[in-house]
Amino acid sequence: MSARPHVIRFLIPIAAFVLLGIVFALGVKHSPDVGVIKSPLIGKQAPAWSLPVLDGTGQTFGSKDLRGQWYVLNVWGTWCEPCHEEHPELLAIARQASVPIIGIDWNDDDAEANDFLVKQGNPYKIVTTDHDGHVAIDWGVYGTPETFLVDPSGTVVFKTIGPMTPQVWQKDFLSRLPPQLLEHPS
Amino acid sequence: MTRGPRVARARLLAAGAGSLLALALLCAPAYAIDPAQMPTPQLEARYLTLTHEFRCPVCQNETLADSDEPVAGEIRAQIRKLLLAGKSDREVRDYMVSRYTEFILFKPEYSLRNAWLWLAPLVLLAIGILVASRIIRARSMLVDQDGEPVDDDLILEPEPPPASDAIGGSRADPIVDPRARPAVKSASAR
Repeated sequence: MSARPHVIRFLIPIAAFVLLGIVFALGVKHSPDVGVIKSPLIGKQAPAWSLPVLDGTGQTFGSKDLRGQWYVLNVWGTWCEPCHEEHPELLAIARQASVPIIGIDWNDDDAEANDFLVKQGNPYKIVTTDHDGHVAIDWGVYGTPETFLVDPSGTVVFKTIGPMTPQVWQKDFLSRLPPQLLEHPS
Repeated sequence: MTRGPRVARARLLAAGAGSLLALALLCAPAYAIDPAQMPTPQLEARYLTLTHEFRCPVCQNETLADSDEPVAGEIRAQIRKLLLAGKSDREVRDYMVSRYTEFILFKPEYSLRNAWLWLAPLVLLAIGILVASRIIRARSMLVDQDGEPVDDDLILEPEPPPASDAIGGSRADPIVDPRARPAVKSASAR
C-alpha cells in the first residue's frame, strides 16, 4: 500500500477544520449583534418626520423645523434602562455643546416621560412622542437608545446604538461637527 | 384488589390527557400575534408572505410574523401601511433593506456580493462527492493476495475477538470486562 491515501486521510479533516475555522471566524466578525447593524441611512437623506411635541400643547415638530441646521436626534423611552444610563451624558452634552438635541420618546407614556424629565433634568431642546413607532421604524431604529447626527442638508452623518458615552461623543460626534457648534455660546 | 386502583389511575390519565388536548385545541387561536386583518385576501396573503420573509431585528432568529416584540409589531404595522398605500412587494423589501440592511431579509438577495453564500453549498457538495468517489474507488482497488476484494470491515477497524475468549473467562457473563480490550490487542499484535 502506498503512503498517499494515508496522507490524504490526514489532510482532509485538517483542511475541513481549517475551512470551518475560517467560516466561523468570518461569521463571528460579521455577526449582526446589537450595535453592529450599521445604519444604511448614513450618508443618505434622513426620512422626513413630524410628531406631536411632548409638552401636550398639541403642536407638532419635525424635519421641516430643523432644515438648515445641525441636530442630534436621540430616540429613547422611560422603559429603556440604557436610556437612563446615558441621561447624565446627554445633560452634560446639552450644557457644553450648542448643537440641539432633539428627542423622540418612543412607545412611551407621556405622563411618565414628563415626570422623568422633570426629575432627571431635560437635555432636549424639543421632545416629541412617537406612540406607534412609525417614525422610529422609518429611521431604522430597533434598540434604544439610538442617537443620530444630522447635518444642515438633512443628511444622516452618523448613528450610534446604545448609551451615549463621552468617548463616543468625542470621537464620533464632535469630530464631525463644525467648530462653532462645539462650545456653548454662553 | 390491585386492579381497582390501576384502572382508576388509567382513567384519570386518559381524562387528563383528554382535557389537555381540549385545552391545547382551545388555545390554538390565541397564538395568532396579529389581530389586524388586511381588507382583501390578496393583501392579507402578501402581508403574510412579507412578514415571514423578514427577520425581527431584536430577536435574531424569529420572523417578524412570529415575534411578539414591540418593535416587530411596529415594523409589521409599517408594512401594513405601505401595502395599503399601494406599494409593491419589491418596494416594501427595498424600504426594509434601506432601513435595516440586508440583515432583515431571511432569504439573502441573489447578488454578486452574496454569490459565495448561494454557491457555497454546491461547492461543498461537489467536494463531498469528489472525496467520497475517491475513497470508494480506493477501497474497491484494495485486494488481498488471493485476488479477493478485502472485506470493508477489516479495513475500517479490525474487530477484536470476543473478550471472553482471550481471558478465558465465563462465556455466560454478559458484561464485557473493560480491561479485556487492551489485553486482546497486545495478544493479537504478537
